[in-house]
Amino acid sequence: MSLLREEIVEELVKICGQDAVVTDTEVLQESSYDRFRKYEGYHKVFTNPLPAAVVFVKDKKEVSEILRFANANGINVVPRTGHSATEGGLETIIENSIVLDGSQMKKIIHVDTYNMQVTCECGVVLEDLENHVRELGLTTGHSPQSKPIAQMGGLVATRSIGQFSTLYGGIEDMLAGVEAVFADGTITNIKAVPRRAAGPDIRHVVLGNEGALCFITEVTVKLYKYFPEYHVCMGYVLDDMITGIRIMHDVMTEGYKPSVARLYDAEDGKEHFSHFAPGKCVILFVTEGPERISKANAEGIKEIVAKYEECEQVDSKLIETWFANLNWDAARIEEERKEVLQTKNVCCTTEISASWSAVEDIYKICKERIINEIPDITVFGAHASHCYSNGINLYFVYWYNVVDCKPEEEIQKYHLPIKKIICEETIKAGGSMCHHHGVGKHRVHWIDKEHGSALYIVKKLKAAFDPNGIMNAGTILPYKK
Amino acid sequence: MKLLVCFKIVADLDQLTPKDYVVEEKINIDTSFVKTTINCFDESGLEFGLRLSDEAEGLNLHIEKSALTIGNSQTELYLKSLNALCYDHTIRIDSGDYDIRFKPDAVGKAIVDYAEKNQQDLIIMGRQSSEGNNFSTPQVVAEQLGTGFIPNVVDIHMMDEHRLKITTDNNGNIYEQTVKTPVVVSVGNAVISKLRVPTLRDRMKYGSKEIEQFPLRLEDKSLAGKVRSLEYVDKSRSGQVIEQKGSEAVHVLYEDYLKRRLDNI
Repeated sequence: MSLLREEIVEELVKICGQDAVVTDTEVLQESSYDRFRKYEGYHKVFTNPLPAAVVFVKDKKEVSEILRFANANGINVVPRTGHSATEGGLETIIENSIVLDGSQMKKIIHVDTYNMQVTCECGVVLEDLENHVRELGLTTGHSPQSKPIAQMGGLVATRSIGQFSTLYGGIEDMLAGVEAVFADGTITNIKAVPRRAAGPDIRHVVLGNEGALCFITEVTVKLYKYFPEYHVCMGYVLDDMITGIRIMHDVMTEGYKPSVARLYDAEDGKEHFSHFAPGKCVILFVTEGPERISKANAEGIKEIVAKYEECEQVDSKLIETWFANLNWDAARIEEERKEVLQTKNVCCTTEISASWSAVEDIYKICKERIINEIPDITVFGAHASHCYSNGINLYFVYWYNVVDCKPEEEIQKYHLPIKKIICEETIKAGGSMCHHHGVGKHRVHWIDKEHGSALYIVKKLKAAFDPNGIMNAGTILPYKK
Repeated sequence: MKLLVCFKIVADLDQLTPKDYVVEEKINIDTSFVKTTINCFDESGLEFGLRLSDEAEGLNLHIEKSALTIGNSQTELYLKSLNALCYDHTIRIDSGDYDIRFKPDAVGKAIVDYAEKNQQDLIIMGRQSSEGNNFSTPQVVAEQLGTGFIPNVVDIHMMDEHRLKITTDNNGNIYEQTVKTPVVVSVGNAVISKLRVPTLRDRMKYGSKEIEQFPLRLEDKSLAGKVRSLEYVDKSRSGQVIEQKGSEAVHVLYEDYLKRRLDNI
């Protein structure tokens, strides 16, 4: 039998104390969605059922007790830290859910400068952590655009990736150890070691679980020496996106390791580079590390780009300045809110990955179909920002004017039809529909096609670790009543 | 009704860091490496132009809309976008080698030259820009054209073919007035600050529409005055971190800071 809201709140107060349990209506409304429904949110329209409470936990023991209580009573729990998710993973689709918030767990527990790793609680803001280790001449190597607001637990839970990924990798390459609490309250600690072959790599049960299997309480990530004085920044303008993709292919398959390798098509670039590259594509690289390595990578990349006559090098200060202003902080989100409310012009994104042989067609087909099939598009572009030896990601960026529809209809009229085209075309071409934002609740529609026969593994994980289905229902896998 | 909106493309100075404020030999700060944007007050003006046009349609009237800027070819990207937003005329006055950013007389004269050749009922201008910040250009234009001038405009609505309802903000006092055209208005902290965005289809449809070029005729006197020095205005404020937490921190804040300030009042 399901509990009443008051009964849930009463139990949460017993576990965490009055101050940690928030039931204010405005907070509950804000906690019922994430940036996927930002247009609705900006209009103060809330279509999801409200949670019973938001609970700010202090430690793993409280997390364990709350999960045990929720599991025993069939209460849905939505784990979160920085509240910066973009794919609906934080939406409370079941009434009287518990939003389990780890943002107050923000201790940096231990910086181990000899073994080059740092352990911190889940609510540490990545930028705070990075600033802390930078004072010691070190870096985590992780730098997603959400760095000023995203917190370590959420970054691991969504398999995040940062702008320097081509050198440092995604969070899965950085994560040495992790502590997580599962639905039945079991606290597990996966120890931080350089590598091991003790069965399957169980870090990957936690990585990318999006709160659908467990709640992350503590993470240990690797550290690297930081040499900003040896950074080499290079930027080029060119006419054709496909040429750019081929340059990226050459750089990666020849074995060079830039920390940043990004390519913007003319449409997406318009938002960033119109002051020096109007109507042009832009490709840029940063190399870093010890002086000789950084220089050698830069020279190799320059040699490859020089083979493509259409590339014209630009002043590196243009790129450095652009980079310095790339991240999203709270002030920028507020600015976006004002702009969206006035112009009804909304920007959304979908990021995918594919092999080198498939990516060019995905780019062309998605662009053609969306421009022709979706109304009121104001910008449709893409950039590639994460490269691998066997392929690349594409980050589709689209803006549309919301015309003749209520805030609550915007997703159905625009965002989901666009996402559908991108996800289906990508999967059809053999790529992945999610590169680094996770599945959330709005890409589950294609999760069976995404995984194919391997969906068996995901379903079994869910059944094993969350048999009562209390962990973030509707995330990663569709919600079935 | 004929409407002219004048706008300026400026460097986004928020992207500059203090160390970028290096004064060159030509007494200039290099802003070429930062993004450009429409001056915020002018952006309101451009949106007012479109909104008045929408309102006119509802009254079965027609507004012939023009948008004018002074600058180099970089500004054409913005003019193309205004073409796609159905401005009837987009005009660029090429300032060539002359740097008239800080010379409101010269800028005003260029606008007046255009407006005398192409009579306007309403001229909308932003009250100031981040470059120059002189608040003078709209006054110069009104004075030279000999028309009425309304400063600190925050809202404009169409009443009929020759009358507008204009709201102004004078130090927090809001005034609403009915104004007969012709008139020059200077837009301040307006109720609308963002320009709508043209669709991709409209951008493709109007992409090749002509941007009119208008010559810049400068008189020696409008080029008078020379920048002799520049210095960075340091707006940073000192701060102190309170190490205590909770109620103890509040106590320290009161005893060491607020109490002293209150005593000094």
